[in-house]
Amino acid sequence: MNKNKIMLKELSVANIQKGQPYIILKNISCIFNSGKVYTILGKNGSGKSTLLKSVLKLLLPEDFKVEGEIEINGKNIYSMSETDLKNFRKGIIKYVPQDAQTAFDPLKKTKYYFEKIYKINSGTEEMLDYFLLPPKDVLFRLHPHQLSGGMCQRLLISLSFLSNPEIIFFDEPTSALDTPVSNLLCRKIKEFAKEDKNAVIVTQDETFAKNVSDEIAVLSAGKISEFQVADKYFNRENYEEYS
Amino acid sequence: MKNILEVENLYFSAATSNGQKEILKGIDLQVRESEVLGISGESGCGKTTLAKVLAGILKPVSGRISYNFSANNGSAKKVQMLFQNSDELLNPLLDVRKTLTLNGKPLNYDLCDLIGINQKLFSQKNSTLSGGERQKVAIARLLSVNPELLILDEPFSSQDPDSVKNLVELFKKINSNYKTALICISHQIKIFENFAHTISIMKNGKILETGNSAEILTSPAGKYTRFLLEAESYKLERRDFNDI
Repeated sequence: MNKNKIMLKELSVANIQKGQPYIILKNISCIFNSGKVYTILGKNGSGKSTLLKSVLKLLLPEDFKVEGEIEINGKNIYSMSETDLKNFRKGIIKYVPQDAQTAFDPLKKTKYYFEKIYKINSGTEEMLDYFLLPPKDVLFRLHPHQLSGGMCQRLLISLSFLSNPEIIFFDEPTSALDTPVSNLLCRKIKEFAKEDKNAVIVTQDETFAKNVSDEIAVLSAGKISEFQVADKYFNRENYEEYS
Repeated sequence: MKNILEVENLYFSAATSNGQKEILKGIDLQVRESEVLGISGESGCGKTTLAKVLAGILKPVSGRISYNFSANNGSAKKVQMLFQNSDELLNPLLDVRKTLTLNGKPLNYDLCDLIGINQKLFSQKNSTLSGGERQKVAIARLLSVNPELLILDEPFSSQDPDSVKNLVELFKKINSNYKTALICISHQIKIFENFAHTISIMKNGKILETGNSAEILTSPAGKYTRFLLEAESYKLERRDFNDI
């Protein structure tokens, strides 16, 4: 079991862009095992999205200094060559960014992403129907700018599930979704993790977090201030949001 | 109290690759003086389009919109709108002081105090502000022209729970101190508890149900409103969507 173990060892990230450099994450060590849904909570600006991006090595080295180790399936991704890392990520990891609308090239129709980028072979109609998106023959003729923000987010989520990855990182996946559709996403993520896969979510949406998560990590002032079982976290007597 | 906004049989269409698509289909609504109206519904149901039509940004295909403000009667000048992405409201190169005095009037310190804009920020450029600070400056800029109706489009999305609570308190203060009527759009229906006086529920470009906040949240008449409230418990399955 735990085939997709994500291990962070003393991860620190500092913003070194122009002006005064500042530390965003300080000595973060934790493990995200497969088969469970992990949710990272924290206030605006606490470094949640930076944490996800640093785990994926998506931070630009000229803007951010990253220290520590990140291992995915026993491989230290910061010691891989760019080509190896690209192939490694492509095969098993999908990332759903916060702003789905800007994740697409506005000049390419949605068909392009299914056929050329994600190379989806089967299950498209069922997934589109599940996430209440238009049928394939209609959707494939549309450009991303013709979709609403919620539809773009559902499209990106659908593509991520359809490409059958081992690990999905979700950054604020419900930000443009209404609550009924968030119910559908919650079920889908739980099903995904049950297949011994790995789901790591960053969100502000406490109700979603409470219903989807097995474990909760709270980021506060650049550190993980709490890491515990979700039921325990949400049901304790003195529970306060992000306490 | 008189109605400051009356909307009757409002239609709006947009051109798509498949021809014209009807987005708003016969909207009727009223907003009274100092009222807080919450509008909720699924994503893509036309909430933002309705807000833009009411703010005069989009022109309706047909229907009647009448404003009945104390000043500039009959015009939309007393309507201001906080867009979903408040970053886009501010010129990144201007400092906060300049941003808040673009109307040609002196800086309103009382307003800044009410909203919670620290005086230390006045000399800072908008581009250096945090997301929360930017949203506050954007709200102050909108209020600096004394609107009688403020339209808020998903002001709580991507905000942490503390910020949401603070924003709700701020909007309630604006509503009570300045008697500004508010139309607040949010896909989280529960957010309107203890905030909105009236709630309208939208689906597929139509308003399905309007009622006072307590009624809508506790004993809604409509099946779709009940469905939205049930969604808060995260028990819905895909098949529950089929007959909605």
